[in-house]
Amino acid sequence: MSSLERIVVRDIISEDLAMRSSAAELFEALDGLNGDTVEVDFEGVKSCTRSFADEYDQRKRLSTKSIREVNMPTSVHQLLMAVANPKKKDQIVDIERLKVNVL
Amino acid sequence: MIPRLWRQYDEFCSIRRTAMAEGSCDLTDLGSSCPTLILPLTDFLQKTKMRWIPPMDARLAECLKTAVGGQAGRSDGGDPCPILALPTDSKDIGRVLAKMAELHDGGERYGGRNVFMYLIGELAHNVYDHSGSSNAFMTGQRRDDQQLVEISIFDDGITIGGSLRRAGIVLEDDVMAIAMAMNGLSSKGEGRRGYGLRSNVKMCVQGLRGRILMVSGNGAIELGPHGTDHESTQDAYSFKENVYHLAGTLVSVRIPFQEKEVDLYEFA
Repeated sequence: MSSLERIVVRDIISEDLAMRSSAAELFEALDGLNGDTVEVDFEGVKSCTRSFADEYDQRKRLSTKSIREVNMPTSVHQLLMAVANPKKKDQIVDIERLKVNVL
Repeated sequence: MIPRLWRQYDEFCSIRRTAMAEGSCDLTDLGSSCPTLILPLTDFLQKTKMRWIPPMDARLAECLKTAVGGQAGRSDGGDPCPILALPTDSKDIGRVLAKMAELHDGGERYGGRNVFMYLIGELAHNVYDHSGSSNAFMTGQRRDDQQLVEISIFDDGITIGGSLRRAGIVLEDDVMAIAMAMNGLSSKGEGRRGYGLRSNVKMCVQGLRGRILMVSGNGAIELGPHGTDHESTQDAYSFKENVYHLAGTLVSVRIPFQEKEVDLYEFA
């Protein structure tokens, strides 16, 4: 019989999710729980970086737990969608046309 | 028209050159507290332990005194010094990001809280992930008279070129290393990596129509908004003279105040 446990992201990290290491820390806590199913509560989370979202997505794929997110802000959800479907990296610096001033 | 950031770095180099020649650093006439100048200056004064004469501007003088004295982010009273030292342990970065948010009203004038926190969060993340630095600072200065904010982050780490070289990626010089990093090359490998800095650069020049300057080792690139399309202006500087060399990496952005929130997912 599976049991449900709950983890509150803001309590473990902060309301601003920036570091890959923070996502790793979250999953260390999550994987240490006894339940087979874990509810990850994003209540109170205010911002997220792509780096955090990417690490979260990768860790979630590797986790043996069944993970269900609740209270996930749209901002986090959109970033998780972005990392799961990365865009092609178009060139921002046009290297061919880069004028270099030698000082 | 947003003033170029390069001028501020150039002024820092000029101050440093004079100080090295004279054996002390006279900042009496320093009127500017632009982050692009102040952060490398703070590191320079800390590292050299050189005698320095504070600026006439009492607030700037106090702020520099606090930061150079290794108390960045704190003060004896009144407003906290806006130069924030990045903690050694990345687990504590939330405190610095929260302080930046507090000092800048959550970035509401800079495209919204999401955009502001994404910007500074990714910049801080790069310091921990790539630089191997022992000293890093972040600060921001809101200029209501110019309707813009300038945000800088500095680390005394191995530089962008150094990080790529350490990963076995050899590029012709530091300008090329910066250009490739801006385009998404990562020392952590391809695939899912390299999007953080790249998305920040894209968001700054295309979404927020601001400027971004990156100085690292013996090179620098400044990008700015251009015309009505999304093509960026771009200027690069390759340093052959030691006077411009930076032992570390400085990233500075200037963002004009925004009328409405910017959708960062267009750039992520």
